[in-house]
Amino acid sequence: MTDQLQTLEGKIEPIELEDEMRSSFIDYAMSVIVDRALPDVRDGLKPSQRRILVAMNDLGLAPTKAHRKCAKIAGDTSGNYHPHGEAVIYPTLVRMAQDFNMRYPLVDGQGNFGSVEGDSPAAMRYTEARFSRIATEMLRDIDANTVDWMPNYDETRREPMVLPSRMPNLIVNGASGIAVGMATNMPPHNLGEAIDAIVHLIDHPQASADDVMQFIKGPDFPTGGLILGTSGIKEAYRTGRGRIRVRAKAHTEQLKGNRAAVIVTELPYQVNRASLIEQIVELVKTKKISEISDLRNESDRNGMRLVIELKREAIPKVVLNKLYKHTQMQTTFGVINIALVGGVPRTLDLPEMLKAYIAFQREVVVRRTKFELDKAETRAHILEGLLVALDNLDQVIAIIRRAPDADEAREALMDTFELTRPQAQAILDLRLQRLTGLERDKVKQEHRELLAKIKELRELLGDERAIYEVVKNELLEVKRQYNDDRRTHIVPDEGDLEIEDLIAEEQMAITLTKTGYVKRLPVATYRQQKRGGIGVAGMELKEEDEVEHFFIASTHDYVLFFTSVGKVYRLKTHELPLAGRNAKGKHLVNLLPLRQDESVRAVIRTRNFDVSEGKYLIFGTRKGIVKKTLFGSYNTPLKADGIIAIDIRDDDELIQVRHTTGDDDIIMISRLGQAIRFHESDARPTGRNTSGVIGMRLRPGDEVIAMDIARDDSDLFVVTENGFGKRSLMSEYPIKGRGGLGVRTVQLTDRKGYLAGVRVVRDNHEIVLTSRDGVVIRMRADGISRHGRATQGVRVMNLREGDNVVAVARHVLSESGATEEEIEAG
Amino acid sequence: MLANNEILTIISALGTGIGDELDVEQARYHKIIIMTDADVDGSHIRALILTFFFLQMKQLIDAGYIYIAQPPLYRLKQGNQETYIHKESQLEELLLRGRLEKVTVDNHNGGFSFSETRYQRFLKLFSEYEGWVKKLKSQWGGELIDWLKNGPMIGVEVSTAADLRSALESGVDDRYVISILDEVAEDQGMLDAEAIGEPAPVKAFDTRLVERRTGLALNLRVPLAALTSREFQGLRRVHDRISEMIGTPPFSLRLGARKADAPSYEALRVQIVELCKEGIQLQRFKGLGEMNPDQLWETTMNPMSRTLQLVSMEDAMAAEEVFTMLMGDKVEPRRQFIEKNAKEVRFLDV
Repeated sequence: MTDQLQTLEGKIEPIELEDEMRSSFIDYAMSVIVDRALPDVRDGLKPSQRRILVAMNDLGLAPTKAHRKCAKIAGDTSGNYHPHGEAVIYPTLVRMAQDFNMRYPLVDGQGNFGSVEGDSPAAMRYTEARFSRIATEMLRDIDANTVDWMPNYDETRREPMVLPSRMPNLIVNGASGIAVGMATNMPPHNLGEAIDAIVHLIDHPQASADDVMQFIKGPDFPTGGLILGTSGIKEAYRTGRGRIRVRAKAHTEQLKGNRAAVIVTELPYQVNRASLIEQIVELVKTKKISEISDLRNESDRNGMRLVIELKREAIPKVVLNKLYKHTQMQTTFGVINIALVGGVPRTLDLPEMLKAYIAFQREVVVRRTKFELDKAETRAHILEGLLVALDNLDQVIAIIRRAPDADEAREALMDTFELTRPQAQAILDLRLQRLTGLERDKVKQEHRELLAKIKELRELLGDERAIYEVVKNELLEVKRQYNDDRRTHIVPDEGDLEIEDLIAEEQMAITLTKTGYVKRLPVATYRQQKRGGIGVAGMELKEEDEVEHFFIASTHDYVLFFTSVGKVYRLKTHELPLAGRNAKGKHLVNLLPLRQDESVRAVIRTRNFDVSEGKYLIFGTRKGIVKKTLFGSYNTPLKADGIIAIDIRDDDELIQVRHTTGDDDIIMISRLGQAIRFHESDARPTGRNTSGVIGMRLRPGDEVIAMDIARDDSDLFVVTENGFGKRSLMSEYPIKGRGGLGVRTVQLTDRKGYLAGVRVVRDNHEIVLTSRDGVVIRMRADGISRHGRATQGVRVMNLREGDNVVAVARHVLSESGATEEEIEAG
Repeated sequence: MLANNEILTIISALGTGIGDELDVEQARYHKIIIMTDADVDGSHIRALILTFFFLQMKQLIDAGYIYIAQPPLYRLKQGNQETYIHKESQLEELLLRGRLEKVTVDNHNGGFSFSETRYQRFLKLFSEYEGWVKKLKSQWGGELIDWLKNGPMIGVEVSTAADLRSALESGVDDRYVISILDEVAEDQGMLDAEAIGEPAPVKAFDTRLVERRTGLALNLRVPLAALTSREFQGLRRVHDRISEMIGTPPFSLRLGARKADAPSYEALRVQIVELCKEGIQLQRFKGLGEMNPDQLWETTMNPMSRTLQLVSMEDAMAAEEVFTMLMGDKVEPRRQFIEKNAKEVRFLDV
């Protein structure tokens, strides 16, 4: 059967799949690129848009005339110029009428043309349209031979290849389109700014994108909104590509019951309001944003108003930032300036784009002027013939009377007076009335006026500068008539939204225990639970563990953890686990990559490493080394596994880190009871990753157990292993040079044991002593007797046989107002 | 792709299954003919369908079951006789067949008529002529070149400004009243012409041409460089050869009772075709839907008379590459392909 069919075949040509694909694809791609998806750099229109405007022009739909049905316009466009369905033409027509899509709509619509809410327009049999006022500028002078024409698709009429565009449509209305292998996306701009930039470029053809930005500040979207920063704009204007971040405009209103609402009044360009609302609802449902209690769309014919009601404790700025981050209330406009230049797609920077328009406008003015000149010359030529006839009236009449017919009369006139055919014909067409004196003067008058006009036009054509002046003045007139205020405001870029922007700033009390458990809880919680300030007294202290560090910090602050091996890690306060008053919190190993033998020795909070928080950090090690480094040196890029804070020898370890002002005294105390006090200027500041200098020289077997800042208005509290202690005025410790053995701070005996701990204390401190067996006692600092420097001290803690003091801590006992203090163990 | 209803219909109609489970033996049809519109959107859909077959039903291509239909581009109808044209290049040939010899072409040297071979020779020379004209027009503007090439100026040897002036003043072109309005001097830059003591050389004349027949005025700048350019010399050479063969414009044409004027060689060609179109209905097909069912049968579907293209795959690797490039996720290779293959259009730094 197959064989039989084969013989019946007309013809079969083989074709290679690969070749067929290539040729089909290139046909389609080229067509889409040059004839569908991309706008012409001169009039900023895609063929479909241009053809709609041409069809409307044919229908005479001036802004002063009545609207016509969109179905008629779409039908004429399809039938006369655009061989595609009305179903694709109508949406293009609609878009040109939508004031939320077009910065300067070209079509004035009557009826429902859809909304920014995403509603569809009414069907085209209901809606009507005509040109907007500014659209008439696009078509002005189209009949003055200003542009080239080509046959339409079925060669029954002609269509303009471009519109004269006395309005810089591409730059002010923007464009978007997806072709094959390339796409274009140009934002709209403000007309006045664009024209000012064009005028500047005419006068300064070498102007750069940055120069042009004096005039064009950035895109100007019909929907307003805010543009974040200028870097994206600059990039786009310099290269033709860039990313511009656009935000909704919103403000806060206070509601009854101490609640606030975020009111959104403008959205980023091309954001569908209805789908934005859905996005927000979804975020509330999935608890991504928990602070929203209600959402109402109060938008009406007068404008947009989206009311987002917040819960009582919510912070509007934080909610707003979350909305920016998670919804289309912030979008990015990716600029790709691709337009057809001479029928070829090109990526254009801003000056190139404007210059192409300028060159086109110059051509339009030249062609129009030539058109007018030719028209005037043609008329003048006829008048010159008439003048010849009027000057030789009798002879002319004689020739005509002699002639047998009109043809011969004309030939005779042409021969006798060297006239052209139209001149001779015009003479024959003269009415006798024109031969009166008055009429003759009129002819002469008209001829004189024409000559003046011809002279003027010719001068214009001969003067490049003058042509550009015409272009400038015409554009400035367009600006005068149609300019309006910028709608999109450009605000400084706050940088990428960081997580801080999504977290309320709040004071937190942070505790870190000796065994390494850390937690934070809001300071407000303390205040509610315990009057009279905060303190460890408010905490549930477990006997087997001690709060080692306790301080107040904002959720947005950094907390620096300095460890025994000389490293420092950095966390934001909000990254610490939020836990209840009685909860333990989380162990640091869950938060920091600590080694087995590594423990936190000092904690310093900072907002931004500012000098005001302390100029230097001073480090002290067990072997008596001190190192002073500018605080700011620790503001390095974050690293998960920490950075080196001090270069420590293998057999040494960090014991303390303190802020200094640059004019502080440092005191170091050793286990064998030596103390050395020196001015910090003795230690030259060094870089971050250095090892420091000798602070205290040690006898064999001795080691530093504490380092602190020494101020004369404080005391030094010392306690020995066997529970003997005393306070001594700091002023009793002489300031010596760095690197000595120091002075005796306590007289040690075998019965008292070595020093167990040291603290700089004030009267309002409480001291907490802990023994190896876990016995804890507390005492007021001012209750401890004050003795001379080199004395023995008194018993401050009773210990059972074999038990020892192992730690001393202190905290503030102030009656009110104190917010921050540290407690530490030695 | 497999979510597309039309594709699902194709799959169920063919009966072979797809992908790894495809069984060629199950094919219900051994001629699977892709028939799309004759415009670029048709090309696109054809490419998409071929991609589907390549990715999911490659064995059908190997088996030689996939064909492409050849719908016509034009229909010519004269009286009861209908002819369909499948290729753009056939149109002129068919329109002129049997009629060309009947067209009388007349210029001031007397009348003649084209034989088919003479017309072919004219077309060959004319394509060169058109090439030069296009180049010249893009550089010097259409009005100037039209005036130069369609009148006697094409025959005047001009190498100096004086030559040009005398040609213009002699009234070389009797279709126009020519007046020189102004001389345009070469830009001397910093040099002051009077300081050198010599006037700057003339580089162009501003002229006014008034057409004797219509009184239409035309203001033209005639640059010397346009007439001495290499392109103009080229145009002049090919013009000489054409004029040797058929004379110079304007021509008047006649076919039976119909007359037409051709003031240029371009118009000559167009007008000859126009005259021969008389009495012929010409319809351009872009969509298959423009044809009546019987027309579609006759031109495209009738197994007795249709032309089919059999899709074959000589080099599966090369085909694979092409599909990846044209239909893949990456834009860059696709753009490079377009840039390389774009006809007539120079794609550069997009």
